Amino acid sequence: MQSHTHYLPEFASREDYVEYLEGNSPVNYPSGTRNRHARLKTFMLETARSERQNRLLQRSFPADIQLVNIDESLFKVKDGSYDGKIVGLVEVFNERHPVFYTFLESHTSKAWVKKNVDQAPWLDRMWLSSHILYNIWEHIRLTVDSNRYVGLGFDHESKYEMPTDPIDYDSDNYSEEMEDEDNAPVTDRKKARVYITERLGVLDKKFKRFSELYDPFHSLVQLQIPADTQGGHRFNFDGQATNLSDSFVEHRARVISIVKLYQKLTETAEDQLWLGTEDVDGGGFRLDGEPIFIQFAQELSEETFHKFITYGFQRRNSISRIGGYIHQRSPKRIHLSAIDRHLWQPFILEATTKHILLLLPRGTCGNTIHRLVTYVQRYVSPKIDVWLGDELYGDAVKTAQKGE
Amino acid sequence: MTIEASIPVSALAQDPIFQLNMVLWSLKRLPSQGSYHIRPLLKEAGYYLFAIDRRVLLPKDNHIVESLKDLTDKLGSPSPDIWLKHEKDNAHLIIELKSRGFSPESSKASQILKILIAVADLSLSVAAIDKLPGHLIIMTDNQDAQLLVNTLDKLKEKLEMYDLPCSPASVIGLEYNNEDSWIWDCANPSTLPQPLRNILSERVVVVTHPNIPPTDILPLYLVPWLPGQKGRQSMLNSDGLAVLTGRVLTYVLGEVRQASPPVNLPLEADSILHDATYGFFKYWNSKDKAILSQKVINIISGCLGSITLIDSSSRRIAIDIPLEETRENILKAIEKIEINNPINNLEGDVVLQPTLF
Repeated sequence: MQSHTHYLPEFASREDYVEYLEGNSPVNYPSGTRNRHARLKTFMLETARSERQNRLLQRSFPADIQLVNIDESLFKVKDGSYDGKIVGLVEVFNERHPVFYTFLESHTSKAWVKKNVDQAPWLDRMWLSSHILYNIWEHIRLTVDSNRYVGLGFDHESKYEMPTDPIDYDSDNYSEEMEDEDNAPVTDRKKARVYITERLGVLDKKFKRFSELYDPFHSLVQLQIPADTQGGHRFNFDGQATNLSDSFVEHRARVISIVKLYQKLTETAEDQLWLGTEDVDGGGFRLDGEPIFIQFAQELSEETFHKFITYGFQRRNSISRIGGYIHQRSPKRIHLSAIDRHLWQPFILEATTKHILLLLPRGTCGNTIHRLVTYVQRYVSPKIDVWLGDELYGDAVKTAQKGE
Repeated sequence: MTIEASIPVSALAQDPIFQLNMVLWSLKRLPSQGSYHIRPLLKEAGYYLFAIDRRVLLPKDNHIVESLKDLTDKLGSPSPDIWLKHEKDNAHLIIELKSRGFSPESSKASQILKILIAVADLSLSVAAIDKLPGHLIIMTDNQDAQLLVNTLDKLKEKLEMYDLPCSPASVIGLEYNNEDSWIWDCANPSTLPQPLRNILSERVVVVTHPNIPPTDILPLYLVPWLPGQKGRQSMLNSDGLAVLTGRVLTYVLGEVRQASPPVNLPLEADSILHDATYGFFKYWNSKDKAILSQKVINIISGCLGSITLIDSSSRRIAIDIPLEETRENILKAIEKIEINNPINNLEGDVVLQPTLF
């Protein structure tokens, strides 16, 4: 049962909401646990870019969600399944990236996003791949006092190495499951979930060594950045951010910078990589488009590869959320007429024991790249090299960061 | 579907779709390191794709027109398969893909003759002021490469006799060797244009398949199938149609899932085919378009039955989706279509609906 204090109050203006979220309002801030106020969660989202999909933001959400204008870019989110209460706010920094702020409790907010975003074909999360989070880390380590505390989270589970059918359970429940000694799953496969909080100066010296010593340290899934005064801002691979500071406006500024980086990276990739024909003046046409190439650090065994294909692409409820029609070329290679089961956008893919190659048709959301990279690092191969065409993905991220 | 070992690899070397895909992949930006097994050789040489199937104009000088009447019975300007430009070199590269070699007397020779004339100076074809020299490359099965070199020499002699312009021309043979590699082998390397001289002066491996069975020899198709490819090896043709069927059905799935019930969802077969072929469909002739569009409608209606309403005249089908549950059932049904079965895929027979006009 949700606490009513986690809903937002009714205000008429942006200024009132900002003051409220800053803790300056006469209206009481929602209370959380352990005698502190509730933490604001931010979910960075994405709408499809396709020229054909010029939907109003309202229509991107399910029918029982109502967006009520506060101003042209800020909306109250009223949810019919919560008796029309204001479960959060949506702010639109640009036409492609709405951001959802909420005080709903952690598991409730995750479930809300799972229901209203993950099941909606017009909305997706922003997927902050390791390369993106790492790039932000690189920026932080050069600009923040080395005595401040930062947090790094790593996660990898070689799901397809299981001797039996891998269970597609929600990995976010990992801690609860492992503490349930009666029901904790048996893990006969590589599995590493590590979270480190340490002074930036100390981590700066150790981080590279971690990844040299153990591959799962390439799969960076969480980054906590110090706030200006105290606390910090935590960013997850799945586009969720948590405000652990005492300032909403500072948290929002951090979110904006990441949204800008993400948008620049994704749209640049789309412009360069999208597959499609263009008429040529004077007759004929050309075929534009470049591939995305993901190379595994180590070749998968045939058995693991077979499970990866079977459970990763053929199962309807696979966590990869990729399906389609498989063309089996050999025990070590498949071609896939693929479809993204979230946004329901087609693309084409080759998978071998050594790599994945994909091409995105014009109009396909470029965030497919970031999501696939995240999925591969979390479940298939934590250490990978990724190219967009002939440019390293990491270099493309750096270029996008500089373009802010 | 796995291409079985019983197909001779020469069938691939002669397959126009394979040749086209190989050239297109050789122009892609691919990492210089890593396990990816196609070498983007033409990209490395500095070439990029200008156009597919773009016409090259024959000069209209009286002398040339009169001479052509003697040399060939078809006077229209040809449309070579692929036209490349170079980042720095001013000489354009025209590539013709040929399944087999042919003699100077063959009907195919007259097309090459016209291309040789037109490519000698491409300025007319691009409305440029200054002369624009081109270079013709013919790509074929390596076992026929020398035959084509001989044919080209004879054609050049003929053009000289008539005092007609003639572009330089080279022949590149495709060959699959026993080390699981595809080779490009230029049969007359002294004729190669400058950007290719260093790269192709000797046999070059352009595709490698380390640790992959020799039967696994198909690239990820950018273009899995094109109409009008007569004489194509039947299993390759079937495979291409199966791949195209898969791509078509992913677009149908997308349209269905993005629909909000209750809805009568219209699907236009032409639009789906346009998307599934990344725009190639637009350039097919009307009859080929009509045939394949009808097949798309047949597949969908065959799968979904009574909830579909067909409008053959506009190549459109409408799917009645009253509930979300119906939509889910439709998605499941489409996902279950066995695309490798010719009965279920675009290889199936279709009878064009009669039209009045």
